Amino acid sequence: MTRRACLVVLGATLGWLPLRVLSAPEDPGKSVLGEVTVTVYYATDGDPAAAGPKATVVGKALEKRLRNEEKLRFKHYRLLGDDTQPLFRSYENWAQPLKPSDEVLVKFEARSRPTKEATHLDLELWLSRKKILKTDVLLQGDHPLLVLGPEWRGGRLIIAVSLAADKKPR
Amino acid sequence: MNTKPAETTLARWLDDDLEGTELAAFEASHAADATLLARREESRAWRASVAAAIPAAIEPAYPEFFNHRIAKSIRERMPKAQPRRRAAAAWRAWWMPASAAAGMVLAFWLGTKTGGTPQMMTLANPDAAQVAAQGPTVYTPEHGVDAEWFASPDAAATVIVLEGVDAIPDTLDFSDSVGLLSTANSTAALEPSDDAEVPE
Repeated sequence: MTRRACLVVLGATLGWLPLRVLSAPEDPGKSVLGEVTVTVYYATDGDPAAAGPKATVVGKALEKRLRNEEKLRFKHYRLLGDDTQPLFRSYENWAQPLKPSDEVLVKFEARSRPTKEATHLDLELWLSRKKILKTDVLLQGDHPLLVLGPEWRGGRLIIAVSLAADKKPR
Repeated sequence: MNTKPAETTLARWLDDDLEGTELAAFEASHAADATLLARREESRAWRASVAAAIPAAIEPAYPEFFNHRIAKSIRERMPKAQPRRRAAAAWRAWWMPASAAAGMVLAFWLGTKTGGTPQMMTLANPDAAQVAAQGPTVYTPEHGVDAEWFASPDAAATVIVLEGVDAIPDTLDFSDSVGLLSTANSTAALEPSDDAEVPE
């Protein structure tokens, strides 16, 4: 075999390996079934400025929605942060709505195969790096989970878990 | 006349095994035979020399050991006794499967007679209404923390109220939350769409 032929064979082999790696079948457990959004609101009957200057006022419709429920009724609501993360077929995932702070974390995992109507999740709410709540919940379209959480600066945090608006389960 | 002695009688005479009338009759016939007398003397001398060389009885070393080995070898060569099959096994071989099958048929028949068609719900295909009606399972591993859940038609949501949770220190500031800064439309997740109705 000539030297040129050896180089051709070597080049083809080195070129084939990366292609082989790139085209390897993906882990089916990582296929994305949808997206989950976790949002943290600050609700207070006091001065909403306590949430900080960057906290934004929520929309009127949401304010009305929250105020309709007696347990969630406050004078003011402010958005503190949110995070949208993919829902994997087999793996758990975490949402960190107040990042870089890990004061509020939500771990979620598909409990069953989502349908267009509903997504059944296993959820864990972690506060201050401690698991505070473990639950399963059925999220339906515009039917979120609202958790009235810990006190903070004279008000309380409301943690909302919902399906991402533009990412329906598939 | 045949004067040759029978072989067995001769052998016994040589061994001094003949007695009484047999000995008298034999010696009367062959007492003059010098050849026979010489053979008898030779036989006697040989027996005497053997008796002098070998003790009368020699016990083998470790006789119990040898006896045990011999008995074991005999046992191994003998055909093993087959365990007797109990008489009940014969009818069991036929009746147990038959009775099991009959039981299954009976159970199936009873199942068809009790109630209507059951509602099947699998994990892969959950009945959303049924799951929603059951409500979430709520668990609070932290000591002193309680959680109460309810379906809120007013908020169109499932609500969980946590009590007993440690307050987040006021010194913590979430103003630099990345989610808050990067998501301009961050309230979209809970904002009802235009055609959705929020209960009054």
